[in-house]
This record gives sequence, C-alpha cells and structure tokens, in this order.
Amino acid sequence: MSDPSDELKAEAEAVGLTRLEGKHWEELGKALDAKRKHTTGMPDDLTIWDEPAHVYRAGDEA
Amino acid sequence: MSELHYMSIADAGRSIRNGDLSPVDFVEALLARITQIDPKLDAFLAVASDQARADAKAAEEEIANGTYRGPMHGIPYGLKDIIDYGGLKTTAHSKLLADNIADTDATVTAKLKAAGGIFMGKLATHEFAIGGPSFDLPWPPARNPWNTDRHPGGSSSGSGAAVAAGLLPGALGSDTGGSVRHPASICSLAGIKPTYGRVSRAGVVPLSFSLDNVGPLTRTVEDNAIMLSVIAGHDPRDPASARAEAIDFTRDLDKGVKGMRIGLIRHFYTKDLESQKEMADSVDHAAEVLRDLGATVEEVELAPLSQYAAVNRVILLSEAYAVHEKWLQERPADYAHFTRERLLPGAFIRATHYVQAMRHREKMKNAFAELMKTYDAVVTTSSMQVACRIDDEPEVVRTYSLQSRTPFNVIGNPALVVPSGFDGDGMPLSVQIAGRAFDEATVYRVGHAYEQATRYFEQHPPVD
Repeated sequence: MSDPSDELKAEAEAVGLTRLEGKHWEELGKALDAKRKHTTGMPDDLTIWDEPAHVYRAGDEA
Repeated sequence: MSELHYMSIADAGRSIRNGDLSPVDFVEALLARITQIDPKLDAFLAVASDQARADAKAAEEEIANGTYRGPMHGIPYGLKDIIDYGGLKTTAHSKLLADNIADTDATVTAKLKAAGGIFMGKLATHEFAIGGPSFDLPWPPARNPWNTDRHPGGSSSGSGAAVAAGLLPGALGSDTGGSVRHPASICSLAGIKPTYGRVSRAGVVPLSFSLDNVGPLTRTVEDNAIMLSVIAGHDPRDPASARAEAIDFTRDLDKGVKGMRIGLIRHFYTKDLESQKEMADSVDHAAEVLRDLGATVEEVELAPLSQYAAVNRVILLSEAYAVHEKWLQERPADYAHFTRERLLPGAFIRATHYVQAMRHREKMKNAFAELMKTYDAVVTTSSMQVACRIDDEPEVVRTYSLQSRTPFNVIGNPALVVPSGFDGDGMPLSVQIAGRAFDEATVYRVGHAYEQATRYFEQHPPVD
C-alpha cells in the first residue's frame, strides 16, 4: 500500500494505534468502512425507558 | 472394536463401566489415529500423549477397584486452546500467547478431571476465537475432514475437525457469535451453546465478556448432554455464572417430542438471508420429521436476522477491542492479518452504540421469552451454506456472515446444532434447535428425537 493518508493517520493516532505499518493501513481503512456498516442495522424503536441488558448493581441486595 | 475411534461417549462409558473396554486401549487407539490422521487435519496444537496414557492407567485401576465416577470416567477429550489446563500452554493460537503457561485449570477443565475424563491435548482455534483460518501464524489452521480443502468452521475449528474425524469422542469449544455451532454445522456434529451463565468462563481466554459461552462438540446429542452435565454449574470464579445448579441433561432424552409445540423460524433462511437450497430444504424436512414424531410445528416470526446480527456485532467488537486494545497498540504485527481485520473496527465504535445495542438486547431477550410462553422449542438454520474452500478468504468471510446463530448469543438462550444430511458434494448440512433460558434439557430432547429418526450421525468423513 502507498503511504497512508493524513486523515487515516489521524484516525489511528486518535485511538492510540501508533505502531501500524505496511498492510496494517489497508486493514485500518477497511476497519473504518466496516465500522460504518457495523453500527447501522439496529432497530430504531427504543424509548427513553428501555434499560440495557446489563445494569450496574451495588451488591446482591440491590 | 474395529471402529473404536468412532465409539460414542455413551457406549464407551457403558463398556468401561462393565469392564468390556479398557480406558488404556481406548486412549491408545485414539493416539494411533491422531498420529495417522491429524497431519491431514492440523486439528491438534499439542497432544498430551504421556499424560493421557498415565491418566488412562489411573482411571482403569480406579474403576477396577470399585470407584466409578460417572459416564466421563476413562473418556478422552480435548480442549480448544483458549481453555486453561494448569501447567500447560494456552496459546489462543496466537504469537502473543505463544509462551503463556496456565497457572491453574479452567473450571471446566477441573470439572472434566474430577469426572475422570482423559485429557488428550489442545486444539486449534481461530486466533483468540475471532480470526479466521490463518496461514500467517506459528501453527496452520485446522481443516474439514469431510473435504480437507474446505474450512471446518470456527472458531472452534480444531474441536470440530478432531471429533468429526474420530480423533476424539468429544471436545470443548467456545461460542460468542456461533463458534461451537459453526464447526458443528459444517462438520456434521452436535454442538451446543448453553444458556449464558450455565457454564463457567473462568480460565477461558475472553473474547466478549457478555457473549462468551463454553460448550461441547460431540458426534451425538446424548454425548453432548453427558459432557454438558459435567461442565455445567455455578462457579464463584465467574462473575456471570448463574446460580442454576447442574442437572443430568440426559435424563429426558428418550421422552420424545409427542405433544410438544415447536416454532419454525423460516424467515431467517427464506427472507432475511438466502440459504443454499439443500440447507433450507433440510430444515423444512426436519420440521416434517418432528411433526411425524408427534410435535405440533408452526411457523413463527421474530425480528429480522439483520437486527440480531447488528446488535451482536456491536457488543462483540466493542468488548473484544477492550480486551485487545493494549496489544493492538503495542504489538499489532503479532496478530494474524485476519484477526487484526476483525478486531480493528472495534476501535471506532462509540460508547453510545454499545449501550444502544445492550438496550436492544434486553428487548430481544424479552420478545423471545414471550414467544416461548407458547412454544417448547424453535427450529431454524444454523449455517446458510456448506463449508467453503479454506484458502478462499473472501468466501470464508462471506459465508461466515450467512448464518442464524447470533440471535441466540444476543438473547443468551441455549441453541443446539444437529446434522441434517449432506449436499450433492457430500458436505454436511445442519439444523439448529433453540429453547427457553436454562432449558437445555428440552433442546436436547428435541435434538435427540430428530437425530434418532434420521441417524446422520452414523456417517463418517472420508478421511482414512
């Protein structure tokens, strides 16, 4: 792969990926594309009252 | 005894108990077969020959002296190499853990030891249970015994290949997005993802804390129920461990399905994703078989498969990146290409996406629980396609996503895969049976009834 773009380098730097080299940059580019796909497709029907599946509990009695 | 290597756990256990089969002979037969066959499959990362021989001798003496521990006593098994066996390496099939020696046993290992099982070795996996069949790691990927040019499924690839080829009667794998059920599906095995929290994760290299499950791969449903009975149960070492006590999951196997109500989730493989025709036909046929056995089978509808897949992906990638962030920052070159490509998207998923996925997960769990007030079990596909070529990376990636296993990781409910025939090229087909939370007994009961009616488990791969 040719040198990564400044934009791609900035994305990597922002998440601490400072040791990428060679083909890693192509993989990172694919990861950014994949992230967009991965974060779409969930339903759009949540209300403000819908709790997550795992909630913090202070202890067994809570 | 010519087919000793294809003897089931149940049959071998009965023979060992009544003195007709020596655990030493059983282990020697399997060690010889591993030597003969595994070079074609690369299912094993390490074979524990000396220890297996010593443990088999000890089991034989103990049984002869009148102490019989149960149906796993004297039975060989293997562990996916993300599961700790104290004093031995757990590599996760990765350079990053190539020299990692486990201090203690995983809880599942300790339970198998206590039950008298004979540990035979560590089995290949996709790197850290998420990569793919990689050729840029210190060890080669496992191959499918039904056709060694094909992918055996993953990530519990060595477990699937070894059991299908008669190198072991049973092995443990892990299932985060389908990694027990995928190799079971395309290697013609029974494989279960138990209810989340049913089996301890302590001592198992994590991939995604809230989705990881340990489950057995075996050639028959009865064998699977025997292994799950041994490894299940509450464990204070695992913070997600459920307080449900282990039961004998073989207890209800022969009760049949007469009078049961079973839902058929057809839209997963006819509308949401396009399945290979033979695969879809085999699932439709499974529904007919269950009807013939006396069950009422009705088509039911859940959320589209794409929604479950999206929720699974966001949770899995977020949690997996949290596990791997430091290594990816410091040693990115030590991962396989396939693994980096799978893990890196997790760096860019926002916290909001993760929380939203967890909120949808709760709704999906509740929707399934509501459906299961009416039905005893549901039936659907597992894989939409048979195994593809192992060296065709784009096809490996494409076919991996053509599956309906992730819904049951998202909602946490038990899901079992059972063989459902073969396609025109002789590659295995499969059907998936899922049930209520902590009701593995009913899932096994349905699977056993179907398996005994169809008997695909009697066919073995052309690997000799």
